[in-house]
Amino acid sequence: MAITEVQRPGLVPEPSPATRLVAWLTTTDHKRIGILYFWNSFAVFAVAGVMALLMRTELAQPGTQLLSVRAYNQVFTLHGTLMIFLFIFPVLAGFGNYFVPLQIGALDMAFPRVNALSFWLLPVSALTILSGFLAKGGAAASGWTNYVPISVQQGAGEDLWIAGLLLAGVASILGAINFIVTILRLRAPGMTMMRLPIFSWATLATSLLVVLATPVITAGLVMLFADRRLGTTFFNPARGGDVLLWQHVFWFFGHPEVYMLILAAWGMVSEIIPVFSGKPLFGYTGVVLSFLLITALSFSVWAHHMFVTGQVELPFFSVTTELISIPTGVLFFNWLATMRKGKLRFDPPMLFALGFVAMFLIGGLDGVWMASPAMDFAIHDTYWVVAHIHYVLFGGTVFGIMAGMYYWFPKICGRMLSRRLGQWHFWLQFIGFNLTFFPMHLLGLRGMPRRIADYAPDRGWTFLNSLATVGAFVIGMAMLVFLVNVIVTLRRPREAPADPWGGFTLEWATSSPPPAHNFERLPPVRSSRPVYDMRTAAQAAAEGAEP
Amino acid sequence: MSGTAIPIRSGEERAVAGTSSSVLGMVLFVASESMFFAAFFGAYVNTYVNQKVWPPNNTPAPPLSLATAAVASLVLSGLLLQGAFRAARRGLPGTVSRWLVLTLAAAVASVVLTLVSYAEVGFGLHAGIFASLFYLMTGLGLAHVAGGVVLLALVVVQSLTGRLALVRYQPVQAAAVYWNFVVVLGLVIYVVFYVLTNTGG
Repeated sequence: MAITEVQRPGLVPEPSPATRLVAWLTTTDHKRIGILYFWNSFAVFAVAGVMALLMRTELAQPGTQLLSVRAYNQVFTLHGTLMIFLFIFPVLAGFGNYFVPLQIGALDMAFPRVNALSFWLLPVSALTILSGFLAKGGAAASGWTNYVPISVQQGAGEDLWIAGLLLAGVASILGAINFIVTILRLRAPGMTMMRLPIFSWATLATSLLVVLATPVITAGLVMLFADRRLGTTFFNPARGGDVLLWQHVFWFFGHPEVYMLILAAWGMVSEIIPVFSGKPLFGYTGVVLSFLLITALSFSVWAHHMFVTGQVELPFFSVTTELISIPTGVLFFNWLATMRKGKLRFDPPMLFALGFVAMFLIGGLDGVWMASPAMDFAIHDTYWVVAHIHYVLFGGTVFGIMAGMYYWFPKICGRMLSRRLGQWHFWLQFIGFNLTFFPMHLLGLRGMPRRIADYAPDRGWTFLNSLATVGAFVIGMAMLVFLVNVIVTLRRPREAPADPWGGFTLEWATSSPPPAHNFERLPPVRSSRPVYDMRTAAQAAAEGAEP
Repeated sequence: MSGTAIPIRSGEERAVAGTSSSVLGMVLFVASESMFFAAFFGAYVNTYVNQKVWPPNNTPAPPLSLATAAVASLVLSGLLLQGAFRAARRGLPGTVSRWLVLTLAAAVASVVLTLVSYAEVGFGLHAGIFASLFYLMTGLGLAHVAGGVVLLALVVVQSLTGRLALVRYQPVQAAAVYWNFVVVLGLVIYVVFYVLTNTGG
C-alpha cells in the first residue's frame, strides 16, 4: 500500500541555490522577467555611465589626456547605443512586463514563452555590441546614428553593432506584440479601454510605435550589412545608391524611437502625480488622445533631423514637428491641473516626477526651437543637440524611470526604499544633471561641435566643459546613493504593505510582492482607478455610519 | 483587499471576446513585416525616381518564365489554404488535412521554382543598385515564403495527428494570416521586379 507523506509547510526544504538559479533562468513569470529586465538594464546603465564619465574626464580640459581619438569615438558610439537601445527602452519594458498584467488584472502576459525570449535576446545583444572592443579595429565608432559612408568603412566592430541591434530589434518587436495582445485580450472584467490605467495606455502606444517603426531600421541594418559584406550598393552613389537613404531609414525609425523612449515615462509620471496629489488624473481622455496623436504624428517628423541636407521639404517637416508640441503641451497642463489644489506629498517618487516635469519641459522647448529650420541650421551637430537629447532622455525619461523605481519598488520587493536616501539621490541627480547638461546649450551656441575628443584652448569652451565634467561626477554620486539605497533596503525584512502610497490602480490591490498568480481576488473595475474608487467608497460608508 | 470581489478565472476565459490571441499576435507580426518590406520598397522608389533608365547600368530585366510559374504556384497555395480554412470553419478535420497537404505541396513547389529561377537571371549581386534591390528583396521574400512553409508543415503535422481540432483550428487561422501576407508580398515583388521591368515600366 502506497503511503503519501504530507509535508507541513514549515518543513518544506529551502530550494538549493542551483535550483533557484535555474528557476530564474527558465522563468516565464512576467514579474520575474520584469525583474530580469531591471537587473540587465541597470548593468548596461552602469557600463554606459562609466563610458560617459570617461568622455567627460577627457573633455574637462583641452588636449587628449585619457582616451585616444579613436577610443573616444568608440566610447561615445557605444555610450549612446547602449543607453538608448539597451538601457532606457529595456528598463521601460521591464516596468511594462511587471506592471501591465497587474494593472489590467491579468495572470500573465499573453505569450509567456515569447516574453522570456524577448528578454534573453537583450543580454546577448549587449554582449555582441560590447564584444566589438575585442574585434580588430575596435568597436563601432560611427555614433549611435551610424551614418554612412563612415559606417560602411568601419571594421568588424561595426558588424557586431549591426548584429546586436538586429537582435535588440527582434526582441523589442516580439515584446511589443506581446504587450498589445495582452492589453487588448486579457483585461479584467469591467476594464474597458477607457478604463485602462494610463501607464498601460502609454505601453500600448509605445508598442504600436515599436511594431510599425522598428522593422524599418531592421531593413536599414540589413541593407547596411549587405553593403559592407555582400557587395550591394544601397548607399553608394557611384553605383546608383544614395547616401541620404540611410538617414531617411534611420530617422523614420529614429524619431518615433524618441517617443518609444518617453511615452512610458509619461505614463509613469501620469500615475504618480495623481497618487501623490490625492486626486484623480485631470483629463484622462485628453491624456489618452494626446498619447495616440503623438504616436500618429511621430511618423511624419523624421526629416527634421535632416534640414541641413537641403534634400527635404523644410516647411512640411517644421510644421509637423511644431504640431507635435500641442498634444505634448496638453500633457503638461494635465499634470499641473492634477496637482492644483491637491494634497501634495513630496516623497521620492513625487520628487522625481516633478523633476521630470521641469526637466522635460526644458528638453521639449529645446526641441520646439530646433524645429525652426533657421535655428537648426545654426545649431545642427553642435553641443546644443547633446543638451537637448539629454534633457529629453535623462531629464525626462531617466527621472521618470527613477520616479517609477521609488514608486513601485515596494510592490516588486516588498520593502520600502529609504526616504532620506531617496531625497539625497534626487537632489544630487537634479543638481548634477543641470550642471552637466545646461552648459552644453551654451557650448552649442558658441559653436562647439558634438562628437569631438579634443578642442583648442583658445575657443572659450574650457570652463563650461569643466563644469559639465563636475556635474557628471555628481550624477555618478547620485547613482551610488541609489545603489546603496537598493542594497541596504534589500537586506531588510519584507514589511511593505500592499498599498503603501494610497495607490489607484489594480497592482495595489494585491500583496507586496504579489503571489505567483498575481491576485487572490479582484475588486470591481468601474473606472481607470478601481482601488481609489474602493477606498473612497469605504471612506464614504464609514463617514455615513458615524452618528 | 476586501470588498465586492470578482473571482479569478484563467487567462483565455476572461479575455475580451473576439479574435484569438494567437491570430491577433500574427496580425501584428504581419504588420511589422509589412513595414520591414515597406522600407525596401521605399528604397526602390527612391532609386527609381533618380534614374533615367530602368533598370540602370545596362542591367538586363530578369526573365519571366520560371518566376511566373513560382508566383502562380504561390497564389495557388493561397487559394488552397482558403479551402482548408473553410473546411475548418465547418469542422471537417479530414478535409482540412487534405487541403493543408495540397497547400504545403504548392508552397514547396513555389520555393523550388523560385530557387531555380535565379539560375536564369543574367546579372550578379554586384551589378549595381538594381541587382542590390532585386537580390535582397526577392531573397528576403523567398526567406519569408520558406518560413511560411515551415509554419504550414507544423500545422499539417498538427492536423494529421488530430491536435488541430482540439485547439479550435486557431493555428490554421494564424497560418492563413501569415500565408496571405506572403502571397500578396510575392505578387507585388513579381510585378515590381519582373512584369514592370520586362514591359519597360
